[in-house]
Amino acid sequence: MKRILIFTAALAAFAAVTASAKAADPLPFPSAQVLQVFIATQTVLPDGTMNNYFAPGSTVVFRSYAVDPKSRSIVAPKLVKYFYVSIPNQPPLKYTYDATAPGASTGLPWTATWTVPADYPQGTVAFKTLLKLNTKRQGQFIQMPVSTAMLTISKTPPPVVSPGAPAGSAGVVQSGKLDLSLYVDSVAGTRPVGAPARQIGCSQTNVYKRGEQLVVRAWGTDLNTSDVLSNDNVKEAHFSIAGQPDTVMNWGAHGTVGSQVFFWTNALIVPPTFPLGEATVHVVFTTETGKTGTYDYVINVIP
Amino acid sequence: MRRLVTSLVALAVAALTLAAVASSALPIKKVPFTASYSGQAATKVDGTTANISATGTGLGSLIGAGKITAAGTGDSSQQPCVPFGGTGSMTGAKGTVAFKLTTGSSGCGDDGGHVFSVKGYATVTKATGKLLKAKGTLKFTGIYNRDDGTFSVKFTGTLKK
Repeated sequence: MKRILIFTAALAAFAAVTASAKAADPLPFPSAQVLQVFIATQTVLPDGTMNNYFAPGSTVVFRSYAVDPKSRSIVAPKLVKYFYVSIPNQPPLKYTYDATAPGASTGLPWTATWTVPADYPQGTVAFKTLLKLNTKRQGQFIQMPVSTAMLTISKTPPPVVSPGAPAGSAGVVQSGKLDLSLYVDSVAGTRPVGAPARQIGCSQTNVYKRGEQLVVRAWGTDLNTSDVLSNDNVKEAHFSIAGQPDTVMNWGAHGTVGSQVFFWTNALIVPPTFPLGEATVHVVFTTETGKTGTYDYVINVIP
Repeated sequence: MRRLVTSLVALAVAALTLAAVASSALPIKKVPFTASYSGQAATKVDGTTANISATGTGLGSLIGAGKITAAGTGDSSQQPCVPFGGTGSMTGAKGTVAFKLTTGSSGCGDDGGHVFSVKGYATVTKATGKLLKAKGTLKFTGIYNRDDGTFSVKFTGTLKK
């Protein structure tokens, strides 16, 4: 009896410690682990300009790529049973595979085009990207819950800063067996230097003027463990742009207090002498076990 | 006399050789260590210096359930990640691990400076009990909520003894 009491007391103490630790633990986006097929989806204009505010009647291009965690390879068309975008109150929007399609890139070759109905409700669109492989493995993508950077329908959207970067090679750099799968996008930061702030800060864009704040956002998974990349398993993460010092990426909380999630970010003010035109943001993650993942993200710097 | 000197020299050489062999023969034991704690932390900013103190309870492998205490300072002029340093100790029923944070430890805050993601490395300066004489560096990661003062932290690494 005494043993049982001691065991119960120990169990209760352990539970208390665990519970109190859990209460303050970070919530990685999208979860601590991603066991399913990894999917990355961006919303762009047909010319490849990243954007998340669209007026009714305008065209949204969803562009994606996916990684099968089993084979640790980028999903090829022949492996796909279905791949579509699920938009509330809309029929499923099927993806097609064509890296030369409007808005597509070699790294994000799957696209689906949606013309926003004139009567579509204004507000955030909680879309999902859903995929099923012939092997029956499935995957799902949702956007990071930061309202200013989520797909939003508005009759008075902020002006689009364009033209977009030719999508080109934007996307995952590696081929063959991957160790890490990465999602990368960028937003216009709220603290430009020598340039006016965007109408809506932290909205998605890949077009910047000199002096604007390029904020790179990323999340990913370790395909060997299914763990989401976090401070726990990442030794170092950064992004590089030619002619600029590397910018370390930080694991931090974002979004509205109470529903914050953790992902990787950092910012760079586009220098006043930065060359105009297309530039590649090279994102690198290195894990504690020495595995690396890279992703090339393309921006366009305009006058 | 000459014999005596020769014997003494031989004895000294033998003793030194034995000591060298003995010390090199001692295997270095690798001890995996993990610990997690949660509790309350306070930050008091004076100019650009943030004075930090933290106490919490939790569990460390080999040292058992117990508490953590730590204190240090951070440079709050640097944003969004505040570099900080300091010392602390983890105490359990079966031992203690004292540590010093290495350069590069930092806390990265959200836009409002409410929630900080902390990470860094801690060099073990002294260990007692089941980890007696253990040395090495541990990685720590965690979160600090400045609004309510709560924190949670995990230590992982392999010590040598």
